[in-house]
Order: sequence, then C-alpha cells, then structure tokens
Amino acid sequence: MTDKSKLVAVVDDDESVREALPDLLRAFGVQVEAFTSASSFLGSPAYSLADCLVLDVAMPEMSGPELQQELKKRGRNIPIIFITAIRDEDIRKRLMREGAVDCLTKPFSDDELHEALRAAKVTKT
Amino acid sequence: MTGVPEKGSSRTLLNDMSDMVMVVSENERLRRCMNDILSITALPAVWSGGNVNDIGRALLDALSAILDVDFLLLRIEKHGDQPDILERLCSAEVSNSAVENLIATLGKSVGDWGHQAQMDWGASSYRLATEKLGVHGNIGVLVAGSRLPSFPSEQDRLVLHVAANQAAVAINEAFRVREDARAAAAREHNKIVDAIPVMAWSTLPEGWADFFNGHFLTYLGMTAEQAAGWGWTTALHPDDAGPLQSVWMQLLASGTAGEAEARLRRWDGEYRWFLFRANPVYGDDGSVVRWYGTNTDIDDRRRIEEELRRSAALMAQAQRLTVTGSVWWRPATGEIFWSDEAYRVAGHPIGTAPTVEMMLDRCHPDDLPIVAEFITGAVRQGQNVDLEHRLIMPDGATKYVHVVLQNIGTDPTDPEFIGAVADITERKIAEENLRRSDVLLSEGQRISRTGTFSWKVETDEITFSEELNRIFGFESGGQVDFDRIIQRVYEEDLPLLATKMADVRQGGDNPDYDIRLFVEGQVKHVRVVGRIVKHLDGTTECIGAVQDVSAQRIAELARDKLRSELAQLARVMSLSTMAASIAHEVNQPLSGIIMNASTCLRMLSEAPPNVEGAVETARRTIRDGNRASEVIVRLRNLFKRGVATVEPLDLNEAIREVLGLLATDLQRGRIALLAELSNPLPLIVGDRVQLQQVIMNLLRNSIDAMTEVAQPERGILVRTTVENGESLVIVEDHGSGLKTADTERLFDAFHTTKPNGMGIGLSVSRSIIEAHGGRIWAESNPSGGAIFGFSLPIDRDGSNEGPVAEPN
Repeated sequence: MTDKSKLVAVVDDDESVREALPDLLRAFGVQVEAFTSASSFLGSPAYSLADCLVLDVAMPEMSGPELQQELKKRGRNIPIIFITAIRDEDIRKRLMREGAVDCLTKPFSDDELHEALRAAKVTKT
Repeated sequence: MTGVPEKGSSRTLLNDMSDMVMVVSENERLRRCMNDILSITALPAVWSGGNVNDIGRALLDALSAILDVDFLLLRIEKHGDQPDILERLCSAEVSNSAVENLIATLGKSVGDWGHQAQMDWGASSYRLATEKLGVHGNIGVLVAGSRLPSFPSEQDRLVLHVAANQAAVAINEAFRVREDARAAAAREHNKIVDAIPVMAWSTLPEGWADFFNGHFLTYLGMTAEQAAGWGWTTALHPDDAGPLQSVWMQLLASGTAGEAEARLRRWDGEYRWFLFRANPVYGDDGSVVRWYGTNTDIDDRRRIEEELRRSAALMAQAQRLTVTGSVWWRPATGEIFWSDEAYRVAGHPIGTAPTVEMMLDRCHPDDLPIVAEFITGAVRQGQNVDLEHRLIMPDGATKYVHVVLQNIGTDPTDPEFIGAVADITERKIAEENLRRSDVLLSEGQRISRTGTFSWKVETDEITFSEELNRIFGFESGGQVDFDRIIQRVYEEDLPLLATKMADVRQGGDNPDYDIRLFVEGQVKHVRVVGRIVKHLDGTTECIGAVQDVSAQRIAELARDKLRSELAQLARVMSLSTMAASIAHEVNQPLSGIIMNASTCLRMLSEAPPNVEGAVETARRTIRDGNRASEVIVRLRNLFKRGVATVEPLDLNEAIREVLGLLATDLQRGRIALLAELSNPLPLIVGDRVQLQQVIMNLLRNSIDAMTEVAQPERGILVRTTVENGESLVIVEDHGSGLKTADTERLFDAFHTTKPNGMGIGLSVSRSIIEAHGGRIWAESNPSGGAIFGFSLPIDRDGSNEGPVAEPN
C-alpha cells in the first residue's frame, strides 16, 4: 500500500511540527527527514534524494516561497506541499500558480495531508 | 489912438476947402473916394502872409484914416474858439465902455446885426454902419460908428463894403494858412510822439485819457476810441489795477509828478511790466491843465530782478537745507565773506565781520593742529583745503564740518579762495548708526541663521549676505553664481530649484519653498522666501531670505516619525499584527495537537498496534494543548500589558492628545472635527495608553467611514458628558454608517466591514473598556452615519489604584 522507497523532506522552524509531522507521514508509509531551515535542507543529501517537500511558508531567513524559487532556479524539480498558520487566499493562489502541489492551512487533518501526498505521487492510496 | 492926429488934420483940410471951391468939390469927392477905394484894395498886398490880427489892425488903421468916424470895430469869428474883437477909437469922446455897450445893444450873434443902427450912449447918439465879412458874417463883422448925422454917406458905405470884402478874403486866406500850418505841426508832433520808443499819453486834469501814441495803441491792440477815457485800464493786470489806480488818484489829487509799476496786457494776451510816469502841466493860475506821461517797458528788468531774487532765495534755501555755507577768502587783504548759512554753521551772529580766528576758536582742540596746518598751507602756498574736523559749539555740542577751499587766484602770492563749509554732523551720526545697524543686521542674520540675497533676473547677478555665504559654505565676499549654487544643492532637489527659478523668470509669484543643500558632507534644510521687485527701468530683481531650518526640520522629522510610530502602534499593533499573531500563535500548537492525535489513532489502529508510539504521540498532544493554553495566557497578558499603569486621568486631555496625533489625517481627508468637551469632567481611573487606543480606534473608524462616502458635509463630533455617575465619550460621524442592525456583533472579534480590516479593532476596544469597568456601544446616527460611545465609571474617592479587571 505504501512505497517504502519514497523520501519526504519536512522543513519547518516550529519544533512541534517537526516532531508531529514526521510521525504522521511515516504512518502513511513514507521515509521522512526533517529540517529546521531552508539552508540546512539545501546542504543535506535529502536535497537531491527527496521525492516530496513539505514546506512551511513563514520561516526566519529563507521563507518557504523563497526556497520554492531557489529550487526552480537550480532546476531541481520537486513536488512541494506548503503548510501555513495564516489563511491567505492570495498567497495560496500565488504558490499554486508557481507549481505547488497543495497549500494546507494549519491546523489540517490527516486526510487533507494524505490527499496532498497522493497528489504529489508519494502514496498510491 | 494912433489915428487921432491924422483924423484931426484931414478934417481941418476938408473944412477949409468946402468954402473955397464948391465946383471942384463934387469931382474932388469922387476922386477922393476913388483914392480911398484904391488904397483899401491895395491892402491885400500888405496883408500877404500876415496873420489874422495883423490883417485886422491894418484894415482898421486904413479905415480910420479914410472915414470920419468916432470908432471902428472888427469882430473876427474863429473856428471853435472865442471871437477876436479889434477896436479902434477915433475920437476922445468915446471909450472902451462905449464898444461894450454897442455889443450889448446889438447882441452877441453877429448874424443878427442889422445893416444900420443907432445907438445912444451917455448924452450922445451914434449912427452905426455894419458890414458882414463872408457869407452871413461867418468870418466876422465890421462896424463903424459916428456922431455925424450924415453918417454913413454913400461913399462911407462903399468904402466900408469894399474894405469888408477885402478883409474877408484876406482873413479867410490867413485862416487857411494857419490851419495848414497847425495840421502840419500836429502831424510832425504825432510823428515824433509815435517814433519815441516809449508809450506816450496825455489826460485831462481829472485823469480822463485823451491821447495815446501809436506805440501804446499797437501794444494794447485797441483803437484810440476804445482806449480813451478809462478804456485802457481794462488792459491792466487784475492784481495791479487797484494799486496803480490808487497811486494815480493820489497824483491827480496832489497835482505832483509821480510813477508806479504795473503790468499791461499786450494785444496777444501776454502781460508785461511797465513803469508809468506822469507829469502835470500847469496853467497860469497854477492849476493842472493837462497830464503827460510815458510807460516804459521794464519787463526784462523785472524778470531779471525776479530771477535774481529767486536764485538768491533758492541758493539760501539750498544752503539752509544742505547746511552748507559759502566762503570767500583773500588772505593777503584779510577780506572774508561768509554766506548767512556759513554763519549759522559756525554759530556766529549773521553780519559780524568774519575772521580766521573766529573759525579757529570753534575748532575742537584735538583737531586744531591739523586745521592750523591746512590754514597755514593755504595762506603761505595757496594750497587748496579739503578736510573734515569737529567744532565745539558754545553750548558744548560737537559739530562735524567739511571744509573745502579752492584757490581761484591767478597770482600765487595772492591766493583767493572760494569754498564751502558743510555741517555733516547728521551724516556722521547716520553713518555711525548705519554701521551699527549693519553690525546688528549681520548679527541678527547669524543668530537666526537667515541669509539674504539679491538676484538680478535679467543678468543673473547674485549677491549673498555674509550669513548666506556661511550657510552655503562659501568664503565671505566671494563671487556667487548659479554654477556654484547648483553645486551646493542636494542632487534630488535640483529639479525643484530649476522649476522655482523658471517660475521667477517667467514672471511667476513670489517664491516660497523648502530645499535641501549638501554642504561639507552634511544635508542642510533651508527655506527660501523671495520678493519679486519690478524696477522702473523694466528690470526684475528677486530679493529674498534663506533660512537654515535643518535643526527645526530634524526635530520635525523626529516628531513625525514618533507620531507615525505611535499611530502605527495603536493601529497596526492593535489590529492586523495582533490578529496575525493570534492566528499564528494559536494555530501552531493546534496543528501539532491534531497531527499528534491523528498519528496516535493511526498507530493504535495498526496491526499490531504501535502502543509505544501512540503513548508518545498522546504525550505530545497534551504538551501541545498546554502550549496552546500558554499562547492564550500570553495574549491576555498582551492586553493586560498597560493596565499596570493605572492612574486617575482626565479623559478630555487624553482626547486632545489623540486629536493632535490625528490632525494630519483629518486634514488629508478634509474632515472638520468639532470637540465639545464637558468642562469640568470628573477624573476616571485607567490606563491612559489603552484608552487612547480605543479613542483613536473609534476616530479612525469614523475617518475611514467618511472617506468612503462623498459627503458634502464632512464633520466628526467628539463630545464628553457626565451621566449617571459615569463619564461618556461619544464620537458621531456622517460616514457610511452601520451596515448591520445587530450592533452587538460589531464588537465581535473578526467581524469586519472594511475591505482590508481584520475585525479586531472594536473587539479589542471592547476588551479594554470592559476591563476598565465600562461599556461600549454603537448606534446609527439619525442624520446619517454612525455614533460610537463608551462610558467609564468616575473615580469617586480618587484613590482607586487597584488593578482593573482583566479583559474577557
């Protein structure tokens, strides 16, 4: 039901998200690696290995959308699921236009997350 | 009486003869008659060229010799005058009185005298024979009288008739000659009178003018008839007629010669001055028979006199005004002349003979050496003098004088100086004052950091005051031009300078603008105010002042920044930032809780269940729940933050401070704000900053509501009142109004009607007001717009310092 070979990278400055989200993702049967910032992700092997990126919008230093632009600039095409604490339709539309798979507003349900992972083609069911 | 001896002899001869020869007597009588007639007809040869009287006398002489009469009388009528009466008494018995009697008898009118008459006089009776001369006796009448009864005989009559005819012809001729001579003399006289270059005239004794020479009449442009009598006086100048007439009347009364000056109008209307001279001519009895006079043109003399007088007056006036006296000095002779003003300057009585000592006496002791040196140089070498020195006046005052002496003499050993001495005390004082005010002005400019400039627009000549040079960082006194100015203007403001200069060149308004300079690595803010002056020669000058307002501007900027920060704090912090922060702070742990709970469920539903993992996730769920709770506490503390500073405060004062912060926004929105603040308003207890946030929130809502609608009357009313032991603050506007009937919902969090609103402001406001134990409400304004208000309990005892209840 799950494809063990898929790797999902989580980038969020909030500790509780970094704790809770990987466990939930693993429950969906994917491998997970969590990073506190965009730069630590870019400097890790996960940068080239990850099949999907779960990315917080508002972060210190490089923000989620900036990382999205940076990856695009580097030609690293990787499905991105944004997560944000602030509901803003304008930002959501812009991110989707830039190629994001989904943009989830915190708090989100496990079903919403699972649906997004399916859209990112990391889970099949 | 000359004829008496001849008459006697002729009569004796006749008596002797009559008795002797009777026959020859008739012949003799005829012959004698012929001779008599011949002798009479010979008379005209004797008369030729003679005058009338000579003719008369010769006639009477001849007749007395011929006729035997007692008297003869010849009356000659003249033209216009009294007749001449010539008498010849031929016997001792008659006298003058007899002739007078005769005239009385016959009457004055000769024409009425009869051919023959008889006259009784005394005891005698006279027979008279009369012959008229000329037609109806118009030339005269010849009368012969005799006591002889035979008189007049036929021969007597014949002789008398012939004699009368001869005399008439001769007298007529004599008259004609006399008149011709008179006419010629009159013509000659008039020619002379007309030729003399003065106006000549004559008048009758009482002043009635009867003659004017041609010169006079030509000048007046009048005919003799127009000028006659008093007609000429119409040509007198109105100002002179009275005085002249009074002089003339005095002369007429006194009968003495005299003169007066008066203006006479020429034919072309121009008045000229004349000297009128009148001379009387006296008759035998000493009375004036006639006045003769001349008028001499003295206009040029008068004009020169007038000009001399005027220029002398002008000169004196000029000297008086300029306090400058004239001086003439010839050292060799010691002659000195001072004008009146020179006396005044030196402080000596006018008219005292001036001396060099008089000048040196007044000299200030300190200046005496230099003055003496100059005087010596002038006397010895004829050197010109030009110096300023001081005088000490008798009253102790100091005078400054400027003395200039110029040697105009030709002989070096005999210098002759003309010059001037001017009182320059006022100028000196003015110079001193000017110097002082210059110092004050530049000091004033320095203190006020204001420089002045002049810009001649056509030629771009620019002058800077010292302070302006300092402001621009130019060296003092250097040449200023636009190139140098432009180098000092802050780059971003160069277009502004160009615009303002172009405005002036195009004849725009007086410039008044702020601009920045960049001087010695420092930005300076200056304010420029100019006045455009149009000169009479058509050129334009811009005169103005430049003030360095850097310090002021920096203070203003700091104040603006502070104000905007404050307003921003009140606005942004209480609204959007707070909303975002609430959302972020609460959503973060919330999403953790949900994720952990989901993971926990999934772990427990696995086969076999991952209990260990589920416990861990459940533990994290509790932790996140606590975290969320902490967030809420933190938010509450945020609201509570200011409540720590609880104090009695005056709401009116708090409102005024907020109005001050909002002044710019009100102005920008063209909103009139009316504050009706109850005075006095009892103090309330609370947090000043929080309450001010509420007031600002309400006012800002009103401003936004007003800006949304095109309301002609844009006004906000803020009032404070006291009601039921509470202080009320009410804000009324005429804006877009409340869009919901449920006014309570307005204060719910996240309820907003504004496009960019977060729906937080009113809810926070309610929290604050309720935390202060008050109430907040909203209602529709009956005249359109909305009314918001809040009430706070009055601080009764003034000692309520306990914390206010926390907002819910």
